[in-house]
Amino acid sequence: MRKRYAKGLAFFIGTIVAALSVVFAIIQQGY
Amino acid sequence: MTKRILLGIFWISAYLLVTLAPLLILLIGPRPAGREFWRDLSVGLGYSGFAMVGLQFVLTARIKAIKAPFGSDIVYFFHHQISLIMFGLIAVHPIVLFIFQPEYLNLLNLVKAPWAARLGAAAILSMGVLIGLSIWRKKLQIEYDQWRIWHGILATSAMTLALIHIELRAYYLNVPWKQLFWAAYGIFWIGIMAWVRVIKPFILLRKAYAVKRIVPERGNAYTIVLESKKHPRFQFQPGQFAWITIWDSPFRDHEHPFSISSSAHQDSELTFTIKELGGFTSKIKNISVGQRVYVDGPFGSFSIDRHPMAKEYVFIAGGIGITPVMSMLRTMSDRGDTRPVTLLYANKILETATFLEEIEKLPGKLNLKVIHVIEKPVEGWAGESGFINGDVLRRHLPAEVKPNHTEIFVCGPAPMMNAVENALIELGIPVGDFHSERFDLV
Repeated sequence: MRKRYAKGLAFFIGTIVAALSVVFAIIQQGY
Repeated sequence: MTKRILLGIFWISAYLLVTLAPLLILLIGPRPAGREFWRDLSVGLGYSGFAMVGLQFVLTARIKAIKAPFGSDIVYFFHHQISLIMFGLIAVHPIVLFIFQPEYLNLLNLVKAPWAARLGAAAILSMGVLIGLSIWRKKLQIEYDQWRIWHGILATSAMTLALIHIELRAYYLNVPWKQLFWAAYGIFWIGIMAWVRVIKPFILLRKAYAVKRIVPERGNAYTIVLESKKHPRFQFQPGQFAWITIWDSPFRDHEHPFSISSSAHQDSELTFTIKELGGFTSKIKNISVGQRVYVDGPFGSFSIDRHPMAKEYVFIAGGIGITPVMSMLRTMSDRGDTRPVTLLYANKILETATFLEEIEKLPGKLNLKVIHVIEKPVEGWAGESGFINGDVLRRHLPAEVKPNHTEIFVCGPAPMMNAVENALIELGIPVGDFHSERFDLV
């Protein structure tokens, strides 16, 4: 149960970081 | 409860902020012209991946404030899980370049590649080996102590190599204040490492304990009783654990986590009950009186003191998982706590049940009901047999488990804990009303 909670939290943070890295690249393109 | 949730949200937000800080800083103020989309995406993944590597040190720095709202086991499981995601982001960072801009494939020729690429590749390789050794440590039959040493060496190498790789590729650090920020960011991580490797071990060295006596227990376990004449014993909540170092310097990073088994209500002694399971634990019986022991603790949220308003407690222990439970029972006894307690205690045979005699005497001091669950009972055993499952729980749990009324604590070997947690969920017990402690951290 606690392992699943930690896994979910890690996945959530990883998704946000990956998404914002894409946003960073888009902003750098001048949008 | 609300305070814990708010603190949890605070630390998760802080994690995200520190991870994304490099990207935010790169975007603020004057910045160089963007390059190709895939190249900028690669940079973004690399910077945030680097920050996540640094944060791995924070997660294992045993900072009590960070662990408080989650519990130590969740912080360690998160450390494991996020390492896979972090490694994924960092590995994808050159791969997107290789796929979408194949001209960068020549960076794979490490003989001719610039130093930035060589160091970047070495950093990724260090991380890959580090994660592989952690996942397959037991399969590879690597001793825990050896693994701890290599884990530290590879982690520090990966961090340093990545930092230099970024410095050499500092296209976006185009103004002095950004370079200053990046230097401060690097110093911050070095400070965290200094805290873990130098400052904290020094504090432990100054606050050493000594073995007062050693008591053999049932189930191939030994209780070591520690005392300190030079400083007061640290305060702890019953059920918590600590990292102990014996026969070594605290600077050597040879610590092992064990539950405290003594009462939190007694001020003088501190005891740990350790089952002989090979490696470090097999040497405990040979410890001599007066041996110096370094204790870093307490840690963990597995405690009745985290749920003081409960009207009733249920403890479910398997084998040596009884140690934190024993600390809670002893503390309740010393405090004269008369709230009802049910203990379900699973063992292969009754004779190996650690603390058996003391547990049998406790109902005279506490409002305690003890149910032994014996996997291989002797003929004529009238009690519960087999494993703790849904049927056993249904027979012995309080008739109604109401939120914030009955708190359930589970501690034992991983397969037992998985089975009990699933059974509790099937019985409709709210997840927030049961608490578990796992020590299979690596």
